[in-house]
Amino acid sequence: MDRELLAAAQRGDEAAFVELIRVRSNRLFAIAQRILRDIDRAEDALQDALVIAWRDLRGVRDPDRFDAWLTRLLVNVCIAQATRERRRTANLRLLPVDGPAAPDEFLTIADRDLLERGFRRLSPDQRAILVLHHFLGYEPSEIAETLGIPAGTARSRLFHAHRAMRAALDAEERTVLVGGRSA
Amino acid sequence: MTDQRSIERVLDAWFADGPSVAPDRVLDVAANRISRQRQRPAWRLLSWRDFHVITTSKMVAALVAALVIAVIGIALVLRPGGPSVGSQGPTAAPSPVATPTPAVTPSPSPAALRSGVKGPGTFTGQFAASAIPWTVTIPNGWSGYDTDIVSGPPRSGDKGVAILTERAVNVPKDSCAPEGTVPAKSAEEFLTAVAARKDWNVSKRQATTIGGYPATRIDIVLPADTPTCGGGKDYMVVAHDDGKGFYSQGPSMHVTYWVADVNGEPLFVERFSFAETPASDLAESDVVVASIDL
Repeated sequence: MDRELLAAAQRGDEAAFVELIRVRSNRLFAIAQRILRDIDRAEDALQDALVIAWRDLRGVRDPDRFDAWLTRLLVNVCIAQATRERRRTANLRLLPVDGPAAPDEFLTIADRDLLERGFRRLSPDQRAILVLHHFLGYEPSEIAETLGIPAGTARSRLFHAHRAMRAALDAEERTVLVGGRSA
Repeated sequence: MTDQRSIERVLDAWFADGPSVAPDRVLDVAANRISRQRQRPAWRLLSWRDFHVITTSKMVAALVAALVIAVIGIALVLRPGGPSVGSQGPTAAPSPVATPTPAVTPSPSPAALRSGVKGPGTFTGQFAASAIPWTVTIPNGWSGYDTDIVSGPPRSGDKGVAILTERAVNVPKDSCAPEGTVPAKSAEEFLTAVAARKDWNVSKRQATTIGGYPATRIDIVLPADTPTCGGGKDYMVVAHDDGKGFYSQGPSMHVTYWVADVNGEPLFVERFSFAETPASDLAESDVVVASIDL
């Protein structure tokens, strides 16, 4: 079915393309939201990715690779958008951390806030790698395939992303303890 | 929270928690945007990397084939009872005179033009967004995309050449604001619209034929700063009646039109190339255009 839809979309059938992406839109949106940490920007990124996907659809020669191609395209759009956004907000200060911890949850509100701040400290590439690994459950070989990088590079980047996240969380915890504000 | 195992668990839990349903408006807006965006032809979507892979794999395949032939040849010569110097082989030796191969071998009956067909051969396509048939003969190294495009040998970078057929198009007054472009009703109307583009380098008209019909040829060089319009908008070269169009594929792209009025409707043959497209490919493309039959 997907193959027929893809073939029709590659012939210029817009309805077939919309049908093709309709069943994928939730997953794609979730990926974008997790990389960008903002619903509006995730919507923009997904729309941009879908328009680019339509434009370049005829470049997909292996229907079995369509999902990987689409995911890669979206991740690249998210990385580009996050890079632009990072430049723009580099000097902004975030709101102070407050609010009590919820003892019955695995992640408290303060934990989530800390994670949010720590994650925003990462480079867009590192964010994307962590989302692919922890949200989509991709192994380094699959991350490599999605991002078009060697498997060894994917392993190395994942390692460094974890390390960067730990460092970011440590830095955030220190900042909160000292001044109650995050740079 | 920051040891390796706990951070992995924390990230798993954190990412699992979050919005997972795309708002309907995302698809609505995307659908609206794609209705104004024409798809790029596959010939332009092959990157230099694809070409490199193709070239490398072809070279490896050729080397392997040569090695296999050499091994088989040596084995035949050295095997017991095999041919030796001065002995007669079981079959007549092939003639040493090479038979010239024609550059283009037309098929007995034209096959349908579609993505992936390879030259040499003659194919029947359709003008974009129509059932108007055309036949074209392409040489070795050329290939077809969809029912309306043939492209030259793969080249790295902006060195390709492709030939498209179009109908119900016109040149927008502003390539960065093509909305509202009305399709030309005649070849003359189209040529006038092209001449009005003072930002393009347009050649003088040349009288020629296309598929046996009297036609006009013009050569255009687009500005060096295309295909960017700013704001992420592409630079449209020709606009279709459905609001879509064909966009510039790179800086200083060369566009040649052969325009003919056929049965009261202007039909267009377009050639897209670049300043660095090899002259041999352009010469082949002239032969391909000359082979077009309507």
